[in-house]
Amino acid sequence: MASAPRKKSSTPKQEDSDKIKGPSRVSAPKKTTTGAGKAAARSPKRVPVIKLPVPETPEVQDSSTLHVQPQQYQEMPRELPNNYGDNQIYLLVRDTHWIYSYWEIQKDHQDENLAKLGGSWESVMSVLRVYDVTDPGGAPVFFDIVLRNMVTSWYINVLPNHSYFVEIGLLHRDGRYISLARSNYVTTPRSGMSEVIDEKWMSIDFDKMYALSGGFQVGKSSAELRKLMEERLKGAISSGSGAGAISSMASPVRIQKRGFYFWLECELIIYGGTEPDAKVTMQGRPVQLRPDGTFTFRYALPDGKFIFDCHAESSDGIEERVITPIVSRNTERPAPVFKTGKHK
Amino acid sequence: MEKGFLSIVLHAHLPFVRHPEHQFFLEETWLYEAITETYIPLIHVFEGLERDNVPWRITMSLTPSLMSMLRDPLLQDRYVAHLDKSIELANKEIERTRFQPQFHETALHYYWEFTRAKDTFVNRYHKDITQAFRKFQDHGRLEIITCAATHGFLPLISRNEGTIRGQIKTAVDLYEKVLGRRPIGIWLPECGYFPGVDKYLKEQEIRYFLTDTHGILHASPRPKYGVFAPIFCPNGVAAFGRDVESSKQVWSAIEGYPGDPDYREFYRDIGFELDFDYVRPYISPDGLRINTGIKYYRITGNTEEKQPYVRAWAMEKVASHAGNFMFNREKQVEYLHDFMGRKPLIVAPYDAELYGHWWYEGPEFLNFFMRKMAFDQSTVRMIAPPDYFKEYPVNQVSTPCFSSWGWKGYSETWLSGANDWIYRHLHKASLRMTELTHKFQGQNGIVSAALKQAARELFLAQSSDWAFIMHTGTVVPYAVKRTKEHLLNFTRIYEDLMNNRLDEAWVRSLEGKNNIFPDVDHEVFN
Repeated sequence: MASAPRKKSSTPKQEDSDKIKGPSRVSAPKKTTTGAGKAAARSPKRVPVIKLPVPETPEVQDSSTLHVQPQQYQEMPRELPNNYGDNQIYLLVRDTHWIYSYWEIQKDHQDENLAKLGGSWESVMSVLRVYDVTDPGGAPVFFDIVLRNMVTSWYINVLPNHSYFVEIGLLHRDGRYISLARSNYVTTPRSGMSEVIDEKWMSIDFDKMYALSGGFQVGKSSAELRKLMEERLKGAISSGSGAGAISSMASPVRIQKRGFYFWLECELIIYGGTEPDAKVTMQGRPVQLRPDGTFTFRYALPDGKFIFDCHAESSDGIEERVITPIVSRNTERPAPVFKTGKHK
Repeated sequence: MEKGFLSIVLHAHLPFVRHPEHQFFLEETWLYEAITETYIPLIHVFEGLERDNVPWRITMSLTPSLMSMLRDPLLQDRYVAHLDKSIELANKEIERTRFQPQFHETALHYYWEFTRAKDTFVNRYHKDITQAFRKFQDHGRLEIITCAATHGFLPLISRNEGTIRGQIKTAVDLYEKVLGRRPIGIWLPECGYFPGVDKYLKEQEIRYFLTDTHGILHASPRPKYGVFAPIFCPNGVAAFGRDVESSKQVWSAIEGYPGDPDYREFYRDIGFELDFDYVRPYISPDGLRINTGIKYYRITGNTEEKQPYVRAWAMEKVASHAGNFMFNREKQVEYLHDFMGRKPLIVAPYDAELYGHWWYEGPEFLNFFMRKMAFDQSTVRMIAPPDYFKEYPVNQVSTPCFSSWGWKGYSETWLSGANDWIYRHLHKASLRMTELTHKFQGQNGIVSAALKQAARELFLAQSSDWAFIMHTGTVVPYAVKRTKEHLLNFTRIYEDLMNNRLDEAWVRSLEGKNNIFPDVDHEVFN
């Protein structure tokens, strides 16, 4: 999508792009997730119990809430349901190092299984169990991420070209574990050239071919095109009253970035009237009259002297009249005055 | 004899935005601007090449959502009204700038461009410019490829088979209806590829698709010719990868052509700059200043003191940039040819709207470039991707890597804190769509109409554009509203059907409002 409403940039485009530190920041996975994933990935066979402050997310909702069924002739509910009544978990691939999981577990399903573990949250916690199934013959390798505050989605830090599935489950302090739902399988993208070589298609120098193809710029410039577009779109926004203003407030050099501006232009309107069937010319060019015989000109008026030669001739060709307004504009622009000690 | 090939691919896409319930709707102007600034100028370039007997070959996607809008009578009429206003304003500008020679020439230029656009749109193509593109394809010059129905980002929406099948088959059906043949190529939305998607392309007899560079480079087994030759997926569908160097020359903020000081400055539009009362009839009726398409300045440099645009200088620059682009492709091809021992294929894909809308001189750049390529050199031949197989029918079999051309190369743009909430709903709706088609299979009348409308609402919700906008933070409320609106419409149809309480009048009103894909085949979800 290339087209989007834009606001006029009040600073040069180039600068706007530079100011944007990248969409990556906007969409960076929650810091807490990063920590959990990495810590866990280093010791995959253990079950680390990590206390995590889980940020409030819009999905945090009481899972027992039922959504209102729309009834005939009733206005449609304007919000999507928080809960579809399923017990399910699903995985999506974000990139080489992150997968995203969302889930939905019903209270009764959870309570039933909690009961099997003693029925008390004192000794049981909710976990996301991440299985690495890259090696099909090997023993299942997994790590757990402890969940709190009824989150319903998570970004998981993983390895490139590995295959995963996840479970949402209940983990008892004594190690007993019950799965509440199991996800689909996903495989993260490879982060470099494949290890597999087809001998019918051998190359003398794969590395050089890779470099010539721009391979070492993957990730940096592979999406330069879209990045530029995104930056332009963002630039259009940040130069408006929103983000741009905020960032300049926080800047220690805000006096240089005041962004105060003042401009002024002059236009000249010349209008008049005659018999509707008269012939009127302005600067020698015929003028289209309105049905009532009036006419209007609107000109941008730069500095200088301008002579407007306006003729009207009656339709019978007997009478001619001339009106010649002479207009001059002269603009003075004194240097701006800065009053010291007045910034707030 | 040439030493290699170049394929320029333009991806023309806009999300389906059509609001019959409003007299004026800001987001509809995306289409109007793109028609005036990109699609019609491209048609003019192609017509000029034909008139002058220049041999040319270029590839272009026309996405099903864009094609649907270009064929919609309401939007066609609204575009004509929009264009009439542009002409009226340009006419006033000719007069207003009488004493500003530095702007007057440009005002005349706009008047000429707008009136010419109207003649092309109304008189020559009878308001349906898809037929202009069809003509160029029928002449063997333009290769038109398709795209998923509503530009759904396939790696993230493919919860079930019906979803991908629906996105692909609906696209192919519309292509055939509008262009009179079946597509053999596809632009995967956002170049979003995941291993397995090729199966659904093959089902529709699509023979090739495009991926980003690393989709090919990280394919397995290792591709011998890097990104300079296509690979065949194990099922025989071919994948062509994007060349980085040629992309960068056009796109890069630093090295790219469009940032040249002589080119027109995008951000200085009279809609924002002239006296409010004067521009009032040409901006949003609520008084919000918007682009009018009349812009008088050139980029000038990294300064706020913009200088007036001089069309003649811009055209000189375009010619020199086209020459430079050609020179670089010749050198690139010569070098690769020697290194590979085989003719390389350079695939250079761009958003079509870059040409004209963002980079005002872009269509003229293509015009100069294709003429120079035809007459000033013989090292590189311009081809469409499938032409390559006439020269090299045998290619390496390898599975491309999951990839996209989005920021960082994967799914992050469409899956981040700003938009990840949509997927649970999109997925649920996909599953329900399959459930509905299964349960109500073979029914007709209002049930069938409701199923078709459910499919339309689902497709519209799946547009990658909404997630993209949420991520980039531009018109977020609109993107959120569209996502929810279509999902809620879908959900109501689902629940009404399941509870046997369908409101026929309401379904019919939705059919009129969200009228994309009138012949949609909902059975594809079964």
